[in-house]
Amino acid sequence: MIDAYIQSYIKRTLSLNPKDIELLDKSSREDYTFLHALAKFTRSPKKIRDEVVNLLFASRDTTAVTLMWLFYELAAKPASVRRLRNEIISAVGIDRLPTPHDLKNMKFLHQVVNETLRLHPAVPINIRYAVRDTIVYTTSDKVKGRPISVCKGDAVAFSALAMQRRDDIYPPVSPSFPPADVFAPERWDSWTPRPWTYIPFNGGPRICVGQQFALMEIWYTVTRLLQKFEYIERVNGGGNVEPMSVKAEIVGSPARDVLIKFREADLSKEMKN
Amino acid sequence: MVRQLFTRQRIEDLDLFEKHTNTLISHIGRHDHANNLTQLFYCYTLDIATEFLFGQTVGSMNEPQSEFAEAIAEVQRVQSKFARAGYVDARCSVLSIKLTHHFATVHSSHSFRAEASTMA
Repeated sequence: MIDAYIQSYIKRTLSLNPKDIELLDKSSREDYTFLHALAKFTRSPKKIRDEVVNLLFASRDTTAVTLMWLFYELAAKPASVRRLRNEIISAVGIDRLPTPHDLKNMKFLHQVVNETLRLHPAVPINIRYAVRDTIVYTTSDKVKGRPISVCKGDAVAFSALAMQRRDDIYPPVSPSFPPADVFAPERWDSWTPRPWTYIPFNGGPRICVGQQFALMEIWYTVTRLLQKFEYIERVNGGGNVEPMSVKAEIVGSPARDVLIKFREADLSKEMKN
Repeated sequence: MVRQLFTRQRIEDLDLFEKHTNTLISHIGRHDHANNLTQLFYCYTLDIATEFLFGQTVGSMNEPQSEFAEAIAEVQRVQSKFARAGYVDARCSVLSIKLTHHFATVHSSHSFRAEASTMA
């Protein structure tokens, strides 16, 4: 079913010869899609399908769960909502569409998104395969700091979810740095994580290809929603006030549905201010 | 190969987001309505991803039960069971490709679901 859907697009794209695709590109028309660009690299339907299916799955759920966690956490922090909304309104006003420049320069917006990805990385557990024999050094008490040998081809699983809540790799707890398992966007006011202690998109040569696209999508969505709504409130389904646990499949989603009430901003009042 | 396709022009095409954000906002109920953001955001990001990749959206926010959206959810359920059963040898993406390929000839979402559960 998914394949059939995608194949119809691939077929249509490949029915154009490379010259036509080039022309379409130059015309910068809207119907020049990602698929057309991909078809410039390969004419193999299978290759194109593989790449497109990969991107579809990689982009869709990760972005969705990040937005869910962000609103879930934010709804319990009215002070952060106010600070974020103030930043948004002073940068873009109540109804102007944000530009890429606006989005790249809203500091607290980035802090809120970064904090969400720290506490709830979209891919909680990941795997890498060793390209050569190597040794992994560890400081964990359980193995008393003994190094672990890894042979070429071995799978090494690691968890950003577990690591990014470790108090021992972050600054000591202080008024400006709450414990690692607390959602606190303000901790980023004066903190930049040390390399490799914050890896929601992973790193190295296989870092997430969609990072910038995903961030742009999230920044845009949050900005537009908070332009419109000034107040968000968590609804605890059936009186359930337990903290939300994570359902860690490939993507780490909230275990229960995220239910949120929105209250629209009174625009007439804001216009006067 | 794919990395160089994420050009600045493509990443910064905010019109794409605006169109779907508008639909999203139109689906958000006010006046004490408890909005299910889980459902809404899954549809929202699917609509954006399909338009970004294919130039045409599946429009699942307006039609959440669309065959395509359900098929994707099913593949992901099965895929995750595979991963937990220890078949983590292949990358997740490879798994999903194999599964989508396997399901390619199965058209109705009913038989699709039956097949998926026997596989899992």
